Amino acid sequence: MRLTVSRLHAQRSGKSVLRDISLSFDKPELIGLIGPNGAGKSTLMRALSGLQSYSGSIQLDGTDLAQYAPQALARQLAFLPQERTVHWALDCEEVVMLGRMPYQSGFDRASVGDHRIVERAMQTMDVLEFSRRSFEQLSGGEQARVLIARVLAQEPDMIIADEPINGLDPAHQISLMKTFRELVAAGRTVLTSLHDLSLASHWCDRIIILEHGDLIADGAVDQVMTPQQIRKVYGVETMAVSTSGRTLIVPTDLAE
Amino acid sequence: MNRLPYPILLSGLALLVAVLFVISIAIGQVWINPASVLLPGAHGYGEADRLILYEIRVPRAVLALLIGATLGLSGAVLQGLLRNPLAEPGLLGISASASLGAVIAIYSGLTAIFAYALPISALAGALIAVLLLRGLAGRSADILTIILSGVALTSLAGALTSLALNMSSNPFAALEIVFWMLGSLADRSWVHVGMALPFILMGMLLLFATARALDALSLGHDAAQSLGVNLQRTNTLAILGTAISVGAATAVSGAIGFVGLIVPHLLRPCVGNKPSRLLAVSALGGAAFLLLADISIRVLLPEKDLKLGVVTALIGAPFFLWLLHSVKKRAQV
Amino acid sequence: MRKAKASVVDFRGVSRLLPVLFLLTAQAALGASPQRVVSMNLCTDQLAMLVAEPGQLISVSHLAVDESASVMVEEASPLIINQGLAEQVIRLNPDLVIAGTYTTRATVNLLKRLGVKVAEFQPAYSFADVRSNLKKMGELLGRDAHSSRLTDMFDQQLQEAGRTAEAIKPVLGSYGANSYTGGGSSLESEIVTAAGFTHLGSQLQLQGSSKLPLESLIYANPDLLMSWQRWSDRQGRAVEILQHPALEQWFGPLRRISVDSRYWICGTPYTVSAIQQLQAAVASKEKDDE
Repeated sequence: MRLTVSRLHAQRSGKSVLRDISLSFDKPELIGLIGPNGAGKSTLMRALSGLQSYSGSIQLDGTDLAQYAPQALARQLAFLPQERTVHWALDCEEVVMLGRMPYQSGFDRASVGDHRIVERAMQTMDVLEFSRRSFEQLSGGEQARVLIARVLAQEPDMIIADEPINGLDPAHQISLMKTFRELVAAGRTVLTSLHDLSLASHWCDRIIILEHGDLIADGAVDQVMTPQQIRKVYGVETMAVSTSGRTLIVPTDLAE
Repeated sequence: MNRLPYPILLSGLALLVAVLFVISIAIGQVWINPASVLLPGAHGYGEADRLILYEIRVPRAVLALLIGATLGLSGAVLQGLLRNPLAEPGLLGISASASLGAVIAIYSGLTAIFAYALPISALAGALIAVLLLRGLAGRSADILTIILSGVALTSLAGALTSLALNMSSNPFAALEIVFWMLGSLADRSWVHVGMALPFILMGMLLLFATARALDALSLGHDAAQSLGVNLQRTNTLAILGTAISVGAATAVSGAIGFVGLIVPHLLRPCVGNKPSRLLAVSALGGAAFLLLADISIRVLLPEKDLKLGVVTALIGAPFFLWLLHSVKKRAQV
Repeated sequence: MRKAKASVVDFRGVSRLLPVLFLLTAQAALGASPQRVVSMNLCTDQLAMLVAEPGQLISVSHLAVDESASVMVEEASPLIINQGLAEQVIRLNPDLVIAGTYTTRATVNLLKRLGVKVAEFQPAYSFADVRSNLKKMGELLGRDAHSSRLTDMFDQQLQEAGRTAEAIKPVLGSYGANSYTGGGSSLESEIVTAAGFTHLGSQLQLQGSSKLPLESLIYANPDLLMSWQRWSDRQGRAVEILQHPALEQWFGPLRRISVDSRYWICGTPYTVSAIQQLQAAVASKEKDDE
């Protein structure tokens, strides 16, 4: 799979939110998308998922995104919105089964294969025991895992997740990042927006920084997340902590 | 939770509809046993019974079934589309606007020239209402905006209906406002069935086609779209389907409220809250509910010509208040 | 300055006198017959037009010129037409207002409060009511002799019409907009009976105009079904019932007759025409049958 973005511009309600963005995703890696509030992270991810109108080009395996049939696109790219509500109190299995929609048509019923894939996805996310439980009754962390299982059931090459760890406790945050790493190990590309700099620096292979709609930096963690860069973008001082062979960037104080 | 398997639920509801249908044609001023009238060589029943059964009671029961199914189904679709358990053609002013369309067609003399002008004008009224609602309430509107827009639309359509009837030269027209606002199936005939049936079936077909998209929509707008659902198409299907079926139903029965609210809500837990599965059961449930309501007015107050909408509102309005309360409570948590 | 002030005082004096003047004229009128009579109800309109001397009646209701309700459109057209609103009636400066007992209570009460003399008429439910209403109208308008002549004519025609009645009395019911049929002790039942038929509503012991579901009508199965010309052919949901296939199949064209509703609304000497027309309508169906 190869997703290339070149000279991307996007507007929301008449205001320019993304300017001249060029990026490329072509191998299994965990990419953290960071930047202050209003930098354009959500808009970029919505554009990549085909949910946002834009100018410039986004190509998936050499074909323009707009040329794809919606279902065909959904088989390659999965989008996990920030909103974690399920509007009706569906059973968790039903929620995950929605991920199989791009593979079904008309009045198709779920096939044996669909059920097997859903079961595997739920197993991966450790939510199989909730199959018959109502989504409403689960805790926030459990709900997040069920929704990711839904994305896995979609069997995409690339997952785009909008602030997935928002509102989760530290244990669930870490377990989610571990899951993302496992997905990368299994050959998928994961792009996730994050506000937590230490999690981003610790778990991601690559960091993209947006600020006011401009692409500021794109590269390996230690190249991109320098104290100078963070101070410039976020206005905070940081310190670097080394742990088990990786570097953690921890914000300490507001910059002078 | 022990839930009835879906096929059993469907056949159970279908059986209930069949039983109520038979009761509905048996009941009236006089009890008629339909079997003994229909069977050849039956005794004890005269020509009058046969005529009453075929020409008065059967079309009435058929209309109750069709219109109930339409209202139940469109309620289920609107709730799924707006992701809001309070959406319903009656509350949203769609039925009242369809009534207005029907009244305009009748009293402008259009129906005298072309019989199908009645359902077409009613569905045009319904269509305008749905489009106005989409425009007023917007895409991500909250419950309150949608319900209040519906209230405003209902009063406006009611006032215009009253105005149209007042301006008519027919001395009885002004008395008809009750029928158009509360609905009735009394003494309708096969002519009305023939007029409404094609539109109701067409509209229901469009509504059923939204099923899978409604499931996806339970994850929200963005997620549904990212799953490959064409939301533009879903919107169009739901809007046209509601307008066509509810418009045609209202043209022959007047505005009947609350069926589309109560029925999907009661049946939702039986299908595990899944919007697509709610459609067929709501259609059957709506048919059963309206048949039951129409039977009850003939049993409770046979001499009084109680309007159908009175019964549905007597059950529906308190239910609506309770639902509003519980939805608000859930939203605050 | 002083002059101007004086004229204001003058004006006030006159306005204070006005009610007194008004009372005086009203009192003077008590003795003599009223000369500016306004009628506000279709039935009293027609009675008054028959009884009043030329020029005595100055205004009738808008229904008196409605082709579908009034039999005296021609007589009514030169008169002033009122919509039955107090404001309009007061402007006509009447010395007698005639209203039906079902005329809006608010309007009648307001007129009385303003000192206008209002006479109220019960609707006629029988031929006896027609006679007593004629007598009352004659007394009010000072036209006793004329009204008793009308009563005598009415009685004579009534007797002639009754003579044609036969021994076998077929059942006849009316069926109108919104499934209404006439009940017993009504002008309708009196007319139907006088024409030589058994009245369905009386037979079913219905009180007043009642809703009769189509099913009940078919079970009651009257020999003849009468509906109202002029109203039945209008567009509208209310009259759809008269085209119901069940009705057409059960009664067929030969058992359905249509009469001119204008003669059935009010009890006046014209009521005799209702009897004659009904007999003629049935007779023509019988001829068709042969």
